[in-house]
Amino acid sequence: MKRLILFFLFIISLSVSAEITVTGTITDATSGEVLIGVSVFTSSRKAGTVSNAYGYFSLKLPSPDSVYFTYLGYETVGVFVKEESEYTIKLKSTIKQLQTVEIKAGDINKVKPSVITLDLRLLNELPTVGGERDLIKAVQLLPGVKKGADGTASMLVRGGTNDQNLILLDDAPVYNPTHLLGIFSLFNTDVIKHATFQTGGFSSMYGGRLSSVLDVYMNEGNTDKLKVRGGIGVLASRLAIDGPISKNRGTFLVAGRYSYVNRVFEMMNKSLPFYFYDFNAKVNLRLTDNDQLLLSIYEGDDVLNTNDKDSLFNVNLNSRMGNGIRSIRWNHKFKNRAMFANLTAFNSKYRYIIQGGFNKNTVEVSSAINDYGLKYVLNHSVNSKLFMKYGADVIMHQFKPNSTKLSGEFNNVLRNRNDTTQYLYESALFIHQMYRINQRLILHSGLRFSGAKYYGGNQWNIEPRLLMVYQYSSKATLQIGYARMAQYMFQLSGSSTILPTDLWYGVQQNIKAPTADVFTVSYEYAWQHHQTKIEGYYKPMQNQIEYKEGVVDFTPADLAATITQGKGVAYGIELTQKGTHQQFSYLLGYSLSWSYRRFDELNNGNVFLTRFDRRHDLNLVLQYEVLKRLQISAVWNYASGSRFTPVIGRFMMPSGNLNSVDVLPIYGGRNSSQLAAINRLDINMSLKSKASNKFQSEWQIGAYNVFNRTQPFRVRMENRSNGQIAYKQVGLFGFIPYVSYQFQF
Amino acid sequence: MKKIIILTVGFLSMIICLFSSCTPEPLPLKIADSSPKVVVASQFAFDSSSNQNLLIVILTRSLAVGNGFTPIADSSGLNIPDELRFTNATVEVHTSSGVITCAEVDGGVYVATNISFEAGATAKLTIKQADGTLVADAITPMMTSTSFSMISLARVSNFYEVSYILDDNTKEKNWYVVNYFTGNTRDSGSVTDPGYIARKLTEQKAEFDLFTDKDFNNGTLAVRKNIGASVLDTVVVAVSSISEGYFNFLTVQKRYGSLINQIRGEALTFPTNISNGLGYFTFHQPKLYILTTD
Repeated sequence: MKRLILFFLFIISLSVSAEITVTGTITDATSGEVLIGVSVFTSSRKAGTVSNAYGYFSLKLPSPDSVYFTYLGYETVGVFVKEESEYTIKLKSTIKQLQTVEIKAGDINKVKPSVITLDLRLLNELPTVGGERDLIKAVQLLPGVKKGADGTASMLVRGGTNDQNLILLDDAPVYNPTHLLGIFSLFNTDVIKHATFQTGGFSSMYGGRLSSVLDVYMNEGNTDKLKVRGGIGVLASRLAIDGPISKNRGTFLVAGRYSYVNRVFEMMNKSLPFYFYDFNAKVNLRLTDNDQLLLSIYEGDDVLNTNDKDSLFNVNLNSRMGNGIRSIRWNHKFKNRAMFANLTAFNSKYRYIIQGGFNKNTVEVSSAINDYGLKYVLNHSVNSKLFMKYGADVIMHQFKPNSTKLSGEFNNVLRNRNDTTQYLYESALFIHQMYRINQRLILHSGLRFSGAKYYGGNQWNIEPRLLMVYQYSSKATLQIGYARMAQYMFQLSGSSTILPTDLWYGVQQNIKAPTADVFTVSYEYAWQHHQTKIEGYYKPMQNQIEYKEGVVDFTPADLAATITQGKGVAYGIELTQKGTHQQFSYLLGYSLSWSYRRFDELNNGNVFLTRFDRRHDLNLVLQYEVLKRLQISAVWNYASGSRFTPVIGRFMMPSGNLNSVDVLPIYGGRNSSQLAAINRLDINMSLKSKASNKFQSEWQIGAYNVFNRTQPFRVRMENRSNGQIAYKQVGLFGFIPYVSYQFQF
Repeated sequence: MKKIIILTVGFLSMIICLFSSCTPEPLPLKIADSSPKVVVASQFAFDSSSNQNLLIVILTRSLAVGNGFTPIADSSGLNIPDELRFTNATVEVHTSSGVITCAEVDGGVYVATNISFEAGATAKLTIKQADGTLVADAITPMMTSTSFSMISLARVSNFYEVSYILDDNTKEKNWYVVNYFTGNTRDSGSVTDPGYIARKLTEQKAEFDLFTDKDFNNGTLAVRKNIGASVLDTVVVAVSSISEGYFNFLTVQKRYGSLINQIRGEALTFPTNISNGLGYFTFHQPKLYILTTD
């Protein structure tokens, strides 16, 4: 018996010692910035992984083999590995513009399942409002992401609401990712290194939201020399500086952006006393060869200042709203090289204050949410077939939904209020594994155990995650996924508008956490320089939250009495087609989808479509490289109209005092009416300086909404003198030309 | 030199762009109109001149948003345009005592006299066109009357305050409405005065209050209400025990009446007990209290 045990131990030790561990960091050959999401795979296809958020990879090879490193926009590099090694891989950037996925579909190691890496070079060429580059507008081009009102940066993913997207900036959550009521995004594209977007097949590492994950990482800074980049546009300007702190020991980045929308409108004799600014900073310190510390900061504000001294009432209105985000991350490489740990501490806050008044009557309304969080993730490359992630996170949400201070006549209409600060403690344990069953089949599975504790109780959810990736042939891949998601913080919006002043709340004793089950099936096929992906999804949702009918007080003291919960379901099919042909590149995204809700207390208990149930949503991006330095691009967006609840009639009833009559509305079914479709063409031309120049510059000329077509933003009811009511669909932006100038040196 | 020219032209182009943007015209939107329905409002009253109970039923028609109308001043004070009045209808009230036909005393206003009130019973309203076609009907419980155990009017500082106590039968669920009627001849402010607007907004809310069992403390409700009456005004306070359905209707009507709701409130579904119609048929007996400020 003893000999048998020794024999088995000997066999096990052989199998373990036969594997070769190769680790390392992957960087940009020019800037020294680490590269995230680089595909790392062997020529035999027996092992593969991707670089993590810090450019680090760890791979176990069953035997000596060639290892390839491939990344969108960079030249592929290969090394032959025959023994345990650590590498610093430097990839050179190519100068091609919009590119298809360069890999063949058969290389499933290179594709992080269900994760879309956003091409930041494409982002720079997209025409937008005022020429301001916008990450979220790029995300809106993806099928399955419905935009809210045209021109705004809301994301409604697969039947979900705007608050159901987990948006992370250097691992810290972002509550309001937009400026100026959703017209611009919070992300300064000069400082973004990497951004991925996911709508299904979620890793158990992610939680707290139902519909999507937008994971954004800032640049760390050039390791070699000081770099300056910036831009001047018609609506805003920006400047970023990054560089080394000391050789091989650290880097830094500082960037700022300032808009002068208010001044621009003044020059046009129009009034929009609104502007924003934001500031990014990051410090990256290499403490030891195995330890790294990163500190990230974001601060931004939207400011409104209006003081109409000439008006009859001497009205003034001021507001300030914005995010403050900080994260500290510590990375540690273990000596066994198979394990990599990350510990993140963050603080994220979003607050607004609105002050207004006339004569001696004043009102001040404020709201704030403040998160403190801690997250630990351990990556473990167990063997050539198995890769594990374990971790835990905890967040203390501290929020004060409403504080109202009044003076003068406002006391007769509103009431003073000072909500007590509320707390919600959200936590989770998770485990996730990637297991290579054979050369064709990889199984990703995980479990997330999450919960929230609040005054008077707690709620818990078990969230299983499953994704099977099957290499059907050398060109085709099939993925089948399931994820259960739970959400403990939610934002309440009225049925007719989404505003940045909509309040965030936590689940309570009488409010259950919304949950969703996301089923996905997708098929990918790549040939030559083209790729096709078709994905179907089915997503039942529970405990969805809406205001009750007739709610007036959107800052309720008794939240549970003001809201109602119900069910939802969304399903659809999405097509992505992209490719290149000589100087021509294209990206087509189309989705056909349905999204329903049913609440006992709304719409007489009948099923109704959601407000942004856009049946058809099509985005077409075309790019043509006229010359090496001259490129033109166009974006055509067509989407079925959004919905609203119309007043379809009126009736008269004696009022409470019986000597007058109230004219009361008859509402149609909830969201029963549809606005006109969005149908918009934007164009852009970019002219770059010579690549050999030390001072690089780029002019961009373009136009948003070339045909000046009304893209419905809201519905306006007009009461005519004869008592008729007429509806009009009002657009936000018409034809807007722009010129912008970018530079870097 | 070339670079300077390019930069100058480029930045001038930016300025030109500022003045080149356009705003598209709004698009019309056609809404499928609702078909007209009969609207029912009812009020039970005691006529002291004839010493008998009266049931007043007001019938109107709803209209689609595309149809215009102009409220008019008329002798009833209800300001209902002629085209919306539902006239020449046969309106009947069915009780256990028999069927009473309501006479049309004014266009769309029907009155039944000598209504015998039977606590705990139900009353059914039927509305037929002149040719006998049934248009709508409704069933409602007959509610017992209720009264204050105490009510008074007092001057406090520069306003008047009504105080009253209402007792509730704790063995059953009850719903109440208290109406306040007062004319304010003193406040003749201007619509350009924000203070006047604010006062008008609050007066709109002071027309009636709704109470349920939850508002009572051990079966007793004590209220002190600022009604802002002027020196010369008479104040009439009416209290009624109403059905749960009518309570829900008034709750929604009161919500919609606020200016804030009309601007940004959530859509409302008005409850109704009228089959094929709108409004509410109620059969409750208000108890009136007339208070004078002198």
